[in-house]
Amino acid sequence: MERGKTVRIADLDGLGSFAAEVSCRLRGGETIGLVGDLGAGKTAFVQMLARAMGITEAVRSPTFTLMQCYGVGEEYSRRTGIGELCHIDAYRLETADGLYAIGFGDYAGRKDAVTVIEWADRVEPVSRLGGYRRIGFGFGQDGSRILTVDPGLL
Amino acid sequence: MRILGIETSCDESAVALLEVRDGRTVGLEHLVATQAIHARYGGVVPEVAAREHSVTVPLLLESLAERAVGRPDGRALGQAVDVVAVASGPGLVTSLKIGLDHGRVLAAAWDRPLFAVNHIEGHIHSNWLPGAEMDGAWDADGDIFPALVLVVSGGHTEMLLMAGHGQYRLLGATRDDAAGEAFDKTAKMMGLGYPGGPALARLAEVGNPKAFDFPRPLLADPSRDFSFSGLKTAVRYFLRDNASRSGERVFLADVAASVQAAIVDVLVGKAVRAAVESGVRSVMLAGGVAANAELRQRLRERLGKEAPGIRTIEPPVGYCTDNAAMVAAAAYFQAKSRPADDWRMVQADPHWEIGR
Ligand SMILES: Nc1ncnc2c1ncn2[C@@H]1O[C@H](COP(=O)(O)OP(=O)(O)OP(=O)(O)O)[C@@H](O)[C@H]1O
Ligand SMILES: [Mg+2]
Repeated sequence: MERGKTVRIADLDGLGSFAAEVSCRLRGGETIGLVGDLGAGKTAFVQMLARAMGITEAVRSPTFTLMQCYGVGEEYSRRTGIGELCHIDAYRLETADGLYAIGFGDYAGRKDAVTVIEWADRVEPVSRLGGYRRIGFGFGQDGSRILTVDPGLL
Repeated sequence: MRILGIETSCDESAVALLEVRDGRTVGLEHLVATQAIHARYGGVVPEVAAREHSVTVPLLLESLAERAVGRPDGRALGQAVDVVAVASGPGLVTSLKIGLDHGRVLAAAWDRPLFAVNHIEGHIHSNWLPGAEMDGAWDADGDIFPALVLVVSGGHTEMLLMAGHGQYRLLGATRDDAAGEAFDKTAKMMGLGYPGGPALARLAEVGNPKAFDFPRPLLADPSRDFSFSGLKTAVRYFLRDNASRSGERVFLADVAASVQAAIVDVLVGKAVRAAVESGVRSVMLAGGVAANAELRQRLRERLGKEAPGIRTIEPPVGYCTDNAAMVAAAAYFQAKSRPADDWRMVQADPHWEIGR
């Protein structure tokens, strides 16, 4: 079921502005579920979000590493109290148990961290966690993306 | 030197006993157990993977003892081992720990030096194993350095400048998807299953690599980085726009060949350029995608044409994917050049990166 606001993202610049807006809404403790098909732009979004949070390290697809955590920039941290961005990819996971086996429990709900999960629909019960927000990624006609964004992120 | 190798980074449990004498391999027993559950789903269940490793590794060690010393006797195996080597990262932390714990306990019980080895450094050293050009030159390989190493697997795509064993400098890496990931994900979109990289390569053999023109991301860019997510998206759009042909075998073979050509073009183009610019004496392949025949052939051709003085070095096809022989091989050089690790202290490092 799709819910929340619908936003059309024309290109990577648009994705960057969107990610910057999201970064301003974050308070810490959020688990953001990214749902959409191969190549929809989930990792691209996390790269832009990381940049907006002052992360200088390269953010790559975590499909094989499953989880990768980054320390946010000093200024962003001072402003928000958030210290870490945790990037998870559930594409290769079979169950939500797998999520906990890779260490999701160390970050979930922590006030000084934000967790982003690609393919969150594969580890479904995760959406019942407090602080869960979903962003759906769909393909537009012309190379654009249609995002469906839960309230609280926009 | 007789080295016991243990590898449990992901969903392959493997043990090996490698003996190197007078600069060549004089003995190699290698046993590997692929976790069937992962093959079935294409995914990984970390807690199941770890549990399987802890069941499988002792059984593999027992079989290894039977092969190496003629009976399933741990103490006798210990007497046939000079050095214990284990991959301690990168990988899944729960899986790594199982292999590492076996290694440290054996090293302590047998009173043998322990070497915790980087899994990628292991892949690089598959180039010295039997069937590789460097076997026979374990102690006389100075003429290949500096080498440019192209590490290509499902989780890694990077170029390292290797000045010698243990001396690496990262030149560039993928900014998004790994090359193996590009193979696997485009294969998935084509209905070849997951991970479908090898199936895509097989299908590509009967296709026309020039049939369709897919993007070669960053090929013309002067940086040493790679990017494959844009290719993935391009294939997605292409398949959507040609959905009516998705049942045609010839069409799919042409797509497979064209996708493979795009990936290989980028890997080879960037590696050859970096090799020439860095003045290396050889280009070495490592990692699961190094088994790809097209990649090997094109790299040889391009180097032969553009830089005939630079050697191409390829690992044996059978040792491209995760294995324990490569871990033992890497430890051979470490045992000659650095003190052993302390079995009491050594820890798994799931994000260990060499050359940074
Ligand atoms: N408007 C857009 N929004 C997002 N990505 C875009 C857009 N236009 C083009 N792209 C490109 O689409 C690709 C998206 O790939 P990406 O790896 O981010 O997808 P993904 O959803 O993470 O896929 P996977 O399921 O494999 O993890 C990138 O190459 C990106 O540059
Ligand atoms: Mg992704």
